[in-house]
Formats: sequence, C-alpha cells, structure tokens
Amino acid sequence: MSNDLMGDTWIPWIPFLPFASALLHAVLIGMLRRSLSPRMVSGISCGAVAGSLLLTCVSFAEMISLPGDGAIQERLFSWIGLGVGSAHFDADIAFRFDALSAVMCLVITGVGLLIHIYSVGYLQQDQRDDRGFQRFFCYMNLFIAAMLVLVLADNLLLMFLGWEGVGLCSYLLIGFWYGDREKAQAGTKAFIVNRIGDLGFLVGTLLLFWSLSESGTPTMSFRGIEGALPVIVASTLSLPAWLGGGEFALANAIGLCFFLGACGKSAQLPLFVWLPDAMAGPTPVSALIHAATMVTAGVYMIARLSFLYAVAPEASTVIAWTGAVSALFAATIACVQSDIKKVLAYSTISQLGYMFLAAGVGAYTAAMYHVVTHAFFKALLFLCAGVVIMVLKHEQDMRRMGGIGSRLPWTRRWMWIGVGTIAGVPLTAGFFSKDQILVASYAAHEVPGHIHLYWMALTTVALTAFYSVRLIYVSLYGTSQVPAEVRREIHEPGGLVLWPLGILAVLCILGSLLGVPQLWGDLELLRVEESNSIHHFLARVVAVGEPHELDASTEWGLTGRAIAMFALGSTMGVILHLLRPAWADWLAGKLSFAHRLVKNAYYVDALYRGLIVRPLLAASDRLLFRWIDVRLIDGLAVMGSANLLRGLTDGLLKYTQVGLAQVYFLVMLLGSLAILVYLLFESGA
Amino acid sequence: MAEYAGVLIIFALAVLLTGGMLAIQLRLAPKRILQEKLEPFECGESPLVAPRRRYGVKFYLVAILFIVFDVEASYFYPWGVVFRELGAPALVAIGIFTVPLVVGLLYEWCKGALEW
Amino acid sequence: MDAHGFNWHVLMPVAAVAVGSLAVLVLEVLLSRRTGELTPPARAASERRLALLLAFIASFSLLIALVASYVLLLAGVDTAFDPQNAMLRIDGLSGMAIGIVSMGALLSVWLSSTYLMALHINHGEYYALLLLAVTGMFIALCAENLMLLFMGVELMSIPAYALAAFDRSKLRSNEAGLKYFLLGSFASAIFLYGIALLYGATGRLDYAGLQRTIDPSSTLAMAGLALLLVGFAFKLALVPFHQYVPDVYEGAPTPVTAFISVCVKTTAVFVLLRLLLQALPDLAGLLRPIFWLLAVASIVVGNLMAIVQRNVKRMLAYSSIAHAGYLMLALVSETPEAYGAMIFYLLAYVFMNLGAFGVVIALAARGRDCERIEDFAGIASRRPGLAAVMTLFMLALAGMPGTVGFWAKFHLFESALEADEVALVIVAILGSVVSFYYYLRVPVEMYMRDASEEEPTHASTNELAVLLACAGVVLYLGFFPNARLPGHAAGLLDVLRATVGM
Repeated sequence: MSNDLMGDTWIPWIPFLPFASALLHAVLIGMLRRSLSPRMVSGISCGAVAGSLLLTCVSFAEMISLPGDGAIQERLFSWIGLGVGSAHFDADIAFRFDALSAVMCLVITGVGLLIHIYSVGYLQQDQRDDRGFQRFFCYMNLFIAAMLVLVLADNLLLMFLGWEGVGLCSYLLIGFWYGDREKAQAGTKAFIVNRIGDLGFLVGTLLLFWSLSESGTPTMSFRGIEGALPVIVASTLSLPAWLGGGEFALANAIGLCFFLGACGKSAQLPLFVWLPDAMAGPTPVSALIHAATMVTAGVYMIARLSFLYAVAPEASTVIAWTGAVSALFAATIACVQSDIKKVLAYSTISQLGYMFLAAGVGAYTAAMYHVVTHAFFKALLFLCAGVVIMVLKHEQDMRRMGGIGSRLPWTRRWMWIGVGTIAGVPLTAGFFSKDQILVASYAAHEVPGHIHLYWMALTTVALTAFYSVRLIYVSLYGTSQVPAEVRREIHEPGGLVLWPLGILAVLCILGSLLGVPQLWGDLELLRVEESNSIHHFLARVVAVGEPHELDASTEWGLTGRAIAMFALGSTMGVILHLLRPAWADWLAGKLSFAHRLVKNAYYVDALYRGLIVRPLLAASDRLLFRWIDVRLIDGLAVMGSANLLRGLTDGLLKYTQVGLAQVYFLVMLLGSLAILVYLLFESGA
Repeated sequence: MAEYAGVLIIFALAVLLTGGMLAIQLRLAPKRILQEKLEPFECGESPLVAPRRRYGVKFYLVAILFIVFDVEASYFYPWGVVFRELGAPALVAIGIFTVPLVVGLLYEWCKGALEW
Repeated sequence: MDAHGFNWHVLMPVAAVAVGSLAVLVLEVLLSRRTGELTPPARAASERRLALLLAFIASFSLLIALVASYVLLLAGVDTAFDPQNAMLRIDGLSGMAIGIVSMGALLSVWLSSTYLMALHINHGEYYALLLLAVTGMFIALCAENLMLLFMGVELMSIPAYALAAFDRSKLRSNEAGLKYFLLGSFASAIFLYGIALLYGATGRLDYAGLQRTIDPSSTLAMAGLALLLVGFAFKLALVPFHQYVPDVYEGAPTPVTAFISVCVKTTAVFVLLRLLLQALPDLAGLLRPIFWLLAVASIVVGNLMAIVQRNVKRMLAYSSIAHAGYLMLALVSETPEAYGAMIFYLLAYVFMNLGAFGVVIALAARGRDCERIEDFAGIASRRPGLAAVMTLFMLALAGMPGTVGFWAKFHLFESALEADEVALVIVAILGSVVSFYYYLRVPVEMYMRDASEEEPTHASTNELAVLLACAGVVLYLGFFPNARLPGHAAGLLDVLRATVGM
C-alpha cells in the first residue's frame, strides 16, 4: 500500500526490549548462576515493558498521522527463502504496525506494564524459592515479547513463532512452582491441550500454502494472502471416500483449521479444559496471560484473518455457535465454583465465548472491542482477587473468606468497579462492548439460528451479573469464615499493588468512550463526537460486512432487554448471597444433581480422561514405549549402532595407530605409492 | 653444448686438484698410525659411546651458526657481481635478505650462543 | 607501482608479520637480559610484563595484516608484486585467506599468554616463532610459483615444529615436535621432489606457465603431480597421511595445537585451491577420484577413531581429520558454490575449533592441561559460563542448527549434492551423525557427572574475550549465515562465492 511507512522505525524495538530483558535474566540465572537483587530485576523488567509501551505510543502517533489507512511496516531480514523466480517464497522477519496490531500492542504493553508493577509488590510477599523472583520476570518479559511478535507479525509463520512462544511462557508460568506436582501437571496439561489447537493452526497454514503454491503464488504474508483470496475462494477440497466424499470449499476448511487453533489458545469448547487448571500459576500470571492477553490471541487471529472468514460462511457459523455455547456453558459453571480464581477462569471462557460469537456473526470490530474492555476488567478482577488471596495467606476458597471488605477499603472499591463492568452496569465499557455483540448477533440474518445465538448470549448476561455479584459478596462481605488470627493481621498492601488496580479501574470506566454505540452517540445527552471510534479505527484493517439496518426502536428494545437481564441476574445474586444465603443452600439441595453436574464442569474432564487420555496412555506405554522405543529404537537402533561402531573402532581400527614414527612413514609411503600408481595409470602416461 | 665447456673444465680441474693433493700427501707424509686416527670422523665426538650419556652441544651449535653465514656469503658473491646492473631493487632485496640474518646474529649473541 | 614496476602494497601483510616477528625477537633478548639480577618475585613480574608486551606487539602486527588484507579485499585488488615475474600475488582469494589466517593467529596469540605463564614456558621466542610461521603462511598463500610456495610452506612448517616442542621439559611435547619434524620433513622432501619432477617435465614453475604446459600423458609430470598431492595431503592431515596428527595435537602445548589445527589447515586448503584453479584446471577429472577417496577415508577414519578417545585434545585431532575430509567434498564437486562453501567452512572452523581449544586452555591449571575427558566432569557446576560455551562449540563442530557449524556443513553438502556426489554426501552425513556421539560426550561429562575435587583456576580476561568472540561469531553466523560484511554491499556467502568464481 502506498500509504505505508517503510523501514527505519521503532517497531522492532517494541518486542525486542522485553526480549532483551528476558535474555539478560536467562543468561544470568541459567548460565552464570547469578541472581540480581529484586530491585534491579524489577527495574530492568518493568523498564523494558515501559519502554515498549512508550515506543508503542510513539508508533501509534506516527501511524495515525499517516494518510488514509497507512500502516508502519518494517522488514528486518529474510528468514526463510525458498525457490527462485515467480514461485519464490519468502518468509521475512517483518513487522507490521496497523490499526489492529496497534490496539493489541497498546493493551499488551499497557496492561502488561501494570501487571508487571503489581507483580513486584505481589512477589515480594510470596517468595517460595530464592531465584524465583528473577525467573518470574524472565518468563513474564519473554511472554510480553512473544505476544508482541504474535500481534506484530506480518506473516503467518512469524505469527506462529509468537503463538508458540506465548504457549511456552504460559506453560512455564503455570508450572512456576514446579516443586508442586499438581501445578507442574497443570502446566503440562495446558501445553498439551494447546498442542491440539496448534495442530489445527499448522494444518491451516499448510493448506493455505499448498493452495497458494498450486496456483503459483506462494506467500505467507497477510496482505499476500488477502491478495490471493480469489484463488482460495475458487479452490475446493475433495474429501476422501471414507469421509463420505464430496467437495468442500477450501476457505471453510482453512477457516475451521485456524479456528481449532483459536479454540486451543482461547479455551473454547471443546478445548477449554486447560484454562481452569492454569489458575495454578501465580495470580499476576493469571491476570496477564490467562485473562487479559494470551487467551485473546485466538480472537486476534480471527480478526487478522477476517478477510478469509468473510468468504467462509460455514466456518463462521461454527465459530458463532461455539462461542455462544461456550459463553453460556462456562457462565453456568462460574455460578457454582467456590475457588475464587476458578470463578474468574470460567468467566474468562464465557467472555471469550462472547468474542467468538461476535467474530462468527461478522462483527470483528465488536469482538476486538470486547477484547480490549475484557483485558481491563478481567485484569482488574484478577488483581483484586490476588490481593484477597495474598492477605489471606494463599487461601483461594471463597467459602473460607468473607467479611474482610472493611479491612481492604481500596481493593473493595476497585473490585466494585470491576464487577460492575463485567456485569454490564449501563454506560460502563463492559456494557457497551457486550451490547454491540448482542445487537450484532440479533441482526445477523445470514447466520443460521442467529436468534438462538442471541438468546443464549442474553441469558449469559444474567448469569454473568449473577456470578460477579456472587464473587464480590461471598469473598468480601457476609459472615466471615476467616480464622481470627489471620483476620487480625489483614492490612491492605502498599502502593505498588494498589496503583495498578486504580489505573485499571479508571480504564474500565473510560474504556466505554472507545465504543459508544451509534444509537447512544446520537443522543443529545452524551454529545459524543465520533460514536464507536474503535470500530471506525479498526475498520481500516478488519473486514466489515454490510451494516445491518435495525431501526432505532428495535435497537433500544434490545438494549432494554440487556439491562433487564443484568438487573435480574444481579438481583438474584444479591438475594441469594446477601439477603437470604440460606435460600442458596436450599436451592442447591433441591437441584443436587444439576448442581453437582455444573460444579464438576459437566464432567468434561473426566470424559476426556476416560475416553482419550487413558486409552492413549495405555497404548503409548504398552506398545510405543515398551516395544518400539525400548527395544527397537533404543536397543537396536541407538545402542546397537553405537556399539557396532565402537566395537569396530576398538577391535580393528585402533590398531592402525601404533605411535611409532617408522610405521607412520611406511603408511605415508604406501599412500604416496597408491596415488602415484593411480595417476600414472589413469592419465595413460 | 659449447657453452657448458667451462663447467667441464672446472670439473676436471677439481678432480685433478683434489686427486693431486691426495696423491702428494700419500707420497710425502709420514705415516704414524694411532688408535684415534683409525676411527671414523664424527665431528669431534667419539663414535662408540654408551647411549644416554651427556655430551656437549656447543660444537653443533657453532657449526649450525657457521652454516647460516656460509650460505649468506655464498649469496653475496653472485649479488656482488651483478648488483650494478640491477640497481636499487637489488639493494632493497639484499637488505631484506640481510636484516633477518643480522637480527638472528644479534639474538644469538645476546643469548650467549657465541660464548664457548 | 614504483619506477621499477613493483607493487609494494602487495607485500603489506607479509611485511607486517615479518617485521613483527623480528621486533619480538630483538625486544625479547634486549629486555630480558636485565632480569637476571632481580629477586625472584620481581623477576616473575618483569617476565610477565615482558610477555604481555610481546603478545601485544604480535597481535598488533597480526591486526595490521588483518586490516590490510581486508582493505585490499574491499578494494578488489588483484595485483602481482612484480608483474613481469609471477611470484607473489594479492587477489580476492589470497586476501580472504590472509584475513582468515591472521584472525586465527590473532585469537591463538590471545589464548597463549596466560597459558604459557601457567605452564612456566613463557619464553618470548614463542611469539617470534608464531609470527614467522604466519609469515610463511602468507607467502605460501600469495605464491603463484611453486618455488616460492615451497619456501613459504617451509617457513610455515619449521617454526611449527619448534612450537610443537615448545614445552621442553615435557616428554610428550618433545615427542610431538620430533614426530612432526621427522614426518613433516619427509613430506616436504616428497613435495619438493614433486616440484622438481614437474619442473623437469614442463620447464615451468609459475602456475600460469604450468597450466599451459602440463601434459597428462607425460609420466614425469604425472609423477610430479602425485608427489605434490602427497605433500598437500600431509599438511591437510588426510587419511592415510594423518597419523602424526593425534600425537602432535596431543603433545603440543594447547595454544600451539589450536594454531596448527586452524591456521596450517586453512593455509593448505587455500594453497591447494589456488593451485587447482590456476595451474591444474584441465586435470580436474583426473584428480577427482583421488580427492573422493581421500575424503571418504578421512571422514570414516577420523570420525570412528574419535569415538574411542579419552583425551579431548586427541579427540579434537581426529575430529579435525574428519573436518578435512568434509572440506574435500568441495574439491570433488569443483563448482564455485562448493569452493565458496569450503571457504565458509574454514571461516566457521576457525571460530569453532579455536573456541573448543580455548576452553581447554582456559581450564588448564597448575602447570597441567585439563584434557582428559574425566577432567571435564562437573565443570558446569563450578564454571557454568565455560561449560556453556564449550557446549556451544561442541554442538557447532557437530553441525547443530542454530550454530555456524550447521550452515557450513549445509552449504558444503548442498553444493556437493548439486554436483551429483550423492554417495559422498551420504558418507559425510553419516560421519556427522557419528560425530555427535563424541562431541556430545563433553557436555554430558560437564553437566551430568559429579565434579572432581580439583578447582580450576579462573580464566584470564583475554581468554574470556577470545571465547566470547568465538561464541558470538558461532551464534551470529549461525543465525545470519549470509550476514553483510562491514563496508561491503553483499553478504558473506555471496562474497565468498564471487571470489572463487573468478
């Protein structure tokens, strides 16, 4: 595009700064076995992220000053270069800073910086091993770097590098306290489940590459793929006979493959099982990685590939349905969990479900808006939960909390703002972003069953309000179940922990200004200069379908329904958890089967374990390990060949080196003779 | 082949000279046969000794040092014959040749290799 | 060009090291005489100062040579010293070779000073001998005349013999020097005999003249050629002319081993390459089977023998034989790409091998080398940095992706494949696979075995600098094999290919 700014920009430094910091820590602790003082570590790490944030802001200003829909492009060097001529394939280490990546970068570095600062305060009270502090910040910086690579990448392969990088950091941080077997296993589980999604990503990439190179224009850069869209639309995939045969549009196949990847990373049905377990990691990690940024990578990817999904209606339908079902499904589970972090984890799955619903009905900008607002309120809620857990000495069970709100005045206030935003108090950021999704799904006539989707999403609004109200009442109010000696020591932590909360709370409220719907913006009362500015901003990059014309009264009706559902859910929450707590127990007793079912997350984990994990493990152990690995590969191939070569050398070749110079002369002489004789014969002299 | 006649003459002269000198001393010299004289010549060393005995290396050292300057001298003669025709480059060339030798001499002098 | 038609700037690199060597020699005797009357501690301090001064002078002259060769290379110089009389020539090939050799020698000098002090063999002659050997290498690299080539090779070899025996009090070092000298003289004699026969057959000694006059049907010329090749095979340590290598590498002081393994081999390869390109291009088909056989024998024997070694220096000696075998792949393939890959391999080899020997040097303590494989046990816990770089060098030598060793092998094998040498490439790849076995034994020992009680001394700053530089290059070129040369528009690999594509 002619409006692009090419070369000599700050863009590569955005991911490089945190990467350099991570590398420094890694070298220090891994290779030189020296750890810096916590002050130095936090200074370097937070400084690196702050630097990234600064550069992001500078680049952002630079980008919006470009004419039209220009972006900043920086190609560092050729990473993989294959072939020549027209079929030349190049994957560069190249970054592209456009509207979509700008929004993501701002969220990552901004929220990331706040959580880094929070972590300094959090970890100082929570050191379980000596090098932990530096190791933690090493991983965190590496995560920020990988995430920035993911969103800034100009091609699919580089994006995959970042994709895998964030997966790695997630694994490392979930298992941060690796001495605890359960936590280490949670990390492994997250990694393995993500691998299933990654397979989808890879197959999608390969399909794309295959179809593009068939047509003679292999490329992996996003704009290249977009340019080759007609080729993709025209191709079909013939299914093999055992799958029923028939033709399948390639765009749908690719879209579904990538969506499998997104399901893994963003914890949607059926690959959501790792996220609740991922709460084993330190709470700032849960806030940053498993709520605010990494899990939204799937949504980002779909927005990035929105041009592809715009021509893949079947795949989009699958996305919308998966999202809506996940949203409802996870929200019900969140209502009955007792672990405070698990509530938030299921709530994250549910909110991500909203985002996929939006992406599936073609409202990619609404999905991205919800990514942004969700980053604010979910990070805020997690960090507040972190404060509660911290002052209660690692107590996460809400049934053993309560009645501590008065001891934590600031935390309580910030948490109220977070709860209000997620529940959808009108005019908050969460309210607007959710409202956009509801309207979009209601209006999406081309998606089969869009009314069902709308009702599922609407029900989820009530459930969301219910569980978020429950969250704050059970943990901070009501009768205290906290042991007296712990209660006496409760005092609110210092500034490093509280300031980030405050800023996030402000963002939760101000975030609504980004996406004031047209309907509200037109009101005299509000006088918004540009309604839904994030939509117009992102529309430079992201595909925007035909606007659905709903008349104002219908739209107000929809909004009214949403507010009603919010009111219903929160009222139920207040009644059951504050006014008449006994009713809640009575209800749970009456519906004990359903309660147990939901509480155990519909036994999905157990199902997977019984149907997939166990048989797989058994087969691996009996056949692959004991027979193929131990006997065939280890025994015959590895040790066998090694012993053969060793024996050959030891028994035979060794004796040629006797150490006597006379023998050396003789051998040299024979060698010379051989060359002489050969040359004389061969040359015919 | 005519141009090689000089070589042939020199060769003949050498044979004559050495043969003549040998013949003259065979005729004229008195013969006193001693044990030492019957031994083969081995640079001043006794040819039949027990191995691993200490022996002086000074003789070898001087011989080696001498050969270096012997060769130097033998290069200087032909250079001296033609250096007028070759001019300045020849001077530089012989300088390049001589300087390392002088440095070598300096080195062995300072190291005490010339002190017997 | 002066009034007599001589291009003096061609002599720049040679002159720099030659003058450096003489300066070191003179300064050593002049300055060390006064230390006789000092007290022992003052004397030790003074000797240390002197050694550092001499090392500084040596590295300074090598640096001049390095810069000079690079400047000449950038300027694209292709000049003979005396255009009337083909003797010395600086062109892309020799400029590049001088650059690589002086880099190797420079790093060797930096690795030497502390080691020599630790082993109490800190004599100034060391640097003079080393620089003399480098002078010989430069002359051989620039030579386009067999006589001058022989002079250069001898000037390279004789100081190397002395250096191998430099640790006079140690039996192994003496053995190394003596064996190297005896077998080297033998090889030189054969080499010289080959030159004589070639001269007898063609009446020419300059490469261009040889190229015009050499006749494959002449028995004399072919016999001379065969003997010439034997001389090269000896310097390159190709099987079956390799047997001195393990003994010499093991016995010689480690910095000398590093120097010999890197610089002598580089010189021999470049000289052979120039000879083949300029004097013998018409005989390529005839020579190919010889190189093929030498390559296979070296790869197989070098790799297999390395497996059973229990001494790291000896293991590296056999591995260097195998590496020489890999290099022969390029001579078999005979394409500019292959030659470019070969030079890249040499460049990589300088840093990988010097790094590996550098770690052995840095671990030397209390007058003894840390060279048995058992000595490496548990290094990782006491010297994690050293263990890490050693692992890097071992992986690079084995050809692990992410290190320069991978690209070196990759380009070499790729170009051989393009020349349809499939069987040879298969042997080479199998050899590389085997090599992982013995290279990885060092990291296994360092990381997975318990430490012996002996605490190694701390490495000196200059050793660490060399190790860091080597590790940096190994990694940097491992990720950016076609990195742009400073001051040059093209990438490294492209420059190398262009140079030999002349």
